Amino acid sequence: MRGARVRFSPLASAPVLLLVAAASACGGSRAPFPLGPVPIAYADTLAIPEPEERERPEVPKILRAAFAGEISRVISPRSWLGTAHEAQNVTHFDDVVSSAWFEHRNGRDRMTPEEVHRGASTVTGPDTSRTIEVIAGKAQGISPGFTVRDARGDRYLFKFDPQGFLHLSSAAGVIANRFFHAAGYHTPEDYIVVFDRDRLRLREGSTITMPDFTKRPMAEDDISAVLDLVDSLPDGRYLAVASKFVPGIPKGPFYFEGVRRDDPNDHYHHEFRRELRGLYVVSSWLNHVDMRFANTLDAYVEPGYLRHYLIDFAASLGSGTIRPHNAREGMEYNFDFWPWLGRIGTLGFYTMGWEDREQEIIDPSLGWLPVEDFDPEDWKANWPNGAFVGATLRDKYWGAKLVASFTDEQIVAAVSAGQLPKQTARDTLAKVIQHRRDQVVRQWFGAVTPVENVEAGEGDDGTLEVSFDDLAIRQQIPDADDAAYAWAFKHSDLKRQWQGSARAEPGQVRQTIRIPNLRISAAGSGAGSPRDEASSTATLKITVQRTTGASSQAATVYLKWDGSRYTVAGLQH
Amino acid sequence: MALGRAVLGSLLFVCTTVPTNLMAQDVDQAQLARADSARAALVRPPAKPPADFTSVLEVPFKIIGFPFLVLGETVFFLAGEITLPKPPNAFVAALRSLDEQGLTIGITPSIGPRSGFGATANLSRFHPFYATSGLSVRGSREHSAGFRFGDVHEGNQLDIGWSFQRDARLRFWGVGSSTTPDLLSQYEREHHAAGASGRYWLHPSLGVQARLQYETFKAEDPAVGDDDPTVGETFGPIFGLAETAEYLVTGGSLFLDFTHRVGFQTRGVRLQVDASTYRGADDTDSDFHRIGGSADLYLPLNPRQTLAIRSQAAALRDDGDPGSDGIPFYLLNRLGGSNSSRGFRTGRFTDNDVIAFMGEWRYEVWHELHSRARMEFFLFLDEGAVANRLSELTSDDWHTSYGVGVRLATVHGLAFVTFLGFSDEQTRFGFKSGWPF
Repeated sequence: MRGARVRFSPLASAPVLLLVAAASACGGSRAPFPLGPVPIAYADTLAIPEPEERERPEVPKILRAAFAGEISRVISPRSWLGTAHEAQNVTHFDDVVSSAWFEHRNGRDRMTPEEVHRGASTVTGPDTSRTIEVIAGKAQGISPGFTVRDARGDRYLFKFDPQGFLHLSSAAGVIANRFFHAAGYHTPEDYIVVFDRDRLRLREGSTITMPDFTKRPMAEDDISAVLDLVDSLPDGRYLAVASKFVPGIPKGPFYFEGVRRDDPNDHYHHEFRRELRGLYVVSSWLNHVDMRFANTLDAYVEPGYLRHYLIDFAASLGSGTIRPHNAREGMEYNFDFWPWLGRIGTLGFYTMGWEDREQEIIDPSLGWLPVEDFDPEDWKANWPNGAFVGATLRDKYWGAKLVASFTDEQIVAAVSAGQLPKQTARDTLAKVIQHRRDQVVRQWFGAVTPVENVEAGEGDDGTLEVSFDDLAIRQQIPDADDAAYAWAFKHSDLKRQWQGSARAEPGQVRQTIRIPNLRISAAGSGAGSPRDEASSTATLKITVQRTTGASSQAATVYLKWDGSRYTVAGLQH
Repeated sequence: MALGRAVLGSLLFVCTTVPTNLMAQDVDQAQLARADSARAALVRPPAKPPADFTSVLEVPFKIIGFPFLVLGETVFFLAGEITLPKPPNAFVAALRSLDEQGLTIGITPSIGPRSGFGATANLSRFHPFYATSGLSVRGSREHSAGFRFGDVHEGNQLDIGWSFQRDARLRFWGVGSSTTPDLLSQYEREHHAAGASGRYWLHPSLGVQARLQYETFKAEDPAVGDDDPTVGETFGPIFGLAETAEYLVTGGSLFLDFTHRVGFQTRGVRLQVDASTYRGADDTDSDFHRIGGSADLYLPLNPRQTLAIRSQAAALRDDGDPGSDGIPFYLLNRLGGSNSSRGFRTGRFTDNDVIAFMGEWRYEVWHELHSRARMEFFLFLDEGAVANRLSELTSDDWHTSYGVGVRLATVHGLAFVTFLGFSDEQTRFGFKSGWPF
């Protein structure tokens, strides 16, 4: 009515607003799988203006994650209802595309052991046969070091092992570097370097950052002061890990949540990136407890985009960077709100298992790396982050596939890159890593139905046959082939719906499910061509039931009907 | 569509993996514009999941949590600013420069009873000569100067010097265990001391201390204070108020320390016995003796849990001269405060004799990975009493307090203790940078 005045009462309107919001939310804005869009390979490598280098205070971020993040995660309807969001940047086959974050390497095309051993290396390490120019020093932080330029003109960061633990962090860092690179992540070139003190020469104008973060001109005595803090080799030379500066211009770290606002290519929120969520599993395997934003790096590379690196792996395997790992690492966050509450409320009588464990260091070059007590499901980095906390079973399965891709020979090759002096130490470490790999694979391949390489075809009798690889059998998990596959086929538009079960063929990686009621030849189906794309999609849910484990999350195969046959259009775990 | 995506992906792959020396040196505007157009045309999954029904359910939680989020973000921001690694600003650089010259300026939680925060300056450049000075927000002051010999770290020390302490807001409730809270009154006191004191460890577990000092005290009603009445208004003329008392003090202590530290945990037993004689000097007609002692016991259950118990007692006896003025009220033994009964205010109960028991159940909640710091929670229970003579104590004289607290210890010592104490009179919050046991 013209001139009528509508009075708005927020209180009275709240229920209406909520209903409207709910209706719009339930309506959704995304096409049903597998018809929706998929990520595009290297879409985030388009040119962008050069961003500013950013530095953020570390303390607020880790406090926020440790306290606010943990409380909000527990007091969360999403946690209670189990409706966690899945990763956004996945293909129709539950995988990722190569990007500025990740390259498909060993997980897709098996690398040779030599390639794993080499990692990202483009050279053989710093040239120590001639003068090594020290261009900056670092006396602050928990591990001192130098920035140097070798005779080839390449810049490296030299970092040393803690006193009393020669080879501990250097070997762990280089070995983990090889694994993360082979898994597909961008890493710098890390090398074990041995050099004579006499090779080091101070460049004029060099500065050193002091413990109070002031900078002053560096002197020869500063080099000696740093080297006095480290152990030398028996022949008097020094050992360090040399990390080659990544190509491009450093632009600060990336975070595990949100997007980088000055990077137009940064589309997916990081806590919903499959590569970062799956990184949880790879990190747990290698016990990289210091996986956080401070050990990441964005670099502005040619032709003008940000590439995202993982750096500094010294807190991996048995190394805690300046000492062997503490028994608590991997078991609890540094500030773990709920164990705290448990201890406070029980006057200290509540204990986690690791608190009563005697920590025995059998070899100072290996540190502390648990095997029997390693639980891939309960592993925790020192600090929580949004991607790790939000990782779902699908993400963890994806990460476990990366871990499973490493053979024993590749593991031995990666361990050899660490140049541990004793063969027994190398053998022990390789065996431990192999064992942890098997634990990871057992855990996550057992939590889902690990079917891959699905194909649909026609059996001899004209019925639909769906064949797939069972990765648990391929990984030779004990008794994995003592299993049955419960399946449920549904094509709503054609009113086709059947269920059944099939025993696994012992010893066979390739398994087949037959849908006996479904004759797929055009003559026998009576189905005709589909009306539209949505009506052409059928689903086949497969749930593996093994005698060795708990029930697994079903895998869903999406089949497309073109009027005469079904083809596989997608796969979700 | 799939073919198009594959072609685009291949083109992007080629463009990004060609060695850098074949590519253009800078990103020109045309290239950026083309990239923007390409990005705008991309069809890909959304950046984050769309809202769903659970998102609607989360709304009330987000509304309720918003103020806590703001509070938390403020705390995190301040923590970040305080801990941000950066070169010191001019003010801090100046302080450090002064420190290097032997003049240390700092902030301290207290410089005496009820002083509040204060600032201190400490001159150590002309060792063994030292001089200190402090001023608190409530007007308390301390000054001292003298010569200090020996090794502080080993605990052997001889101190010859002079000190002055002014406590601006002291409290007094009268004498006896039955005094009521409404008798709260205030006074201020000045204390001069000149003489020598020394400590020497005969053995790692056995130490002695002796002192010979000339001390003067002057207590009076504060000229400017809180709204509480003054001692003079409440109690009238009592010995020690509005007059100067001068004493020649001799005393000695014996320490038996059988404690040792394992990590951050103290274990063992520690005993101390003190005896002092106060001889009135000049016009002060007051002679008395003080004897006291304490015993600390640390019983670890395991590396994470400890039962700590302190028991302490002290007695004052004058010389029995009927003409003597007695003992100044501010030198009587006291019960209450962080050193004896944490649920009561400092000095709440006063009399000649005092006995107190303090018990704590301490347990580790967190320790820093590099073992540089450890946080403990503790529950405590304190029992204490004052009386003219301990032999005259009755059950009604005992006062109980209890509470909880948090201790943060670093490798350099106790960083701070904070506690919440409860008694039948009040709830008390405390924050201290030291702890009696």
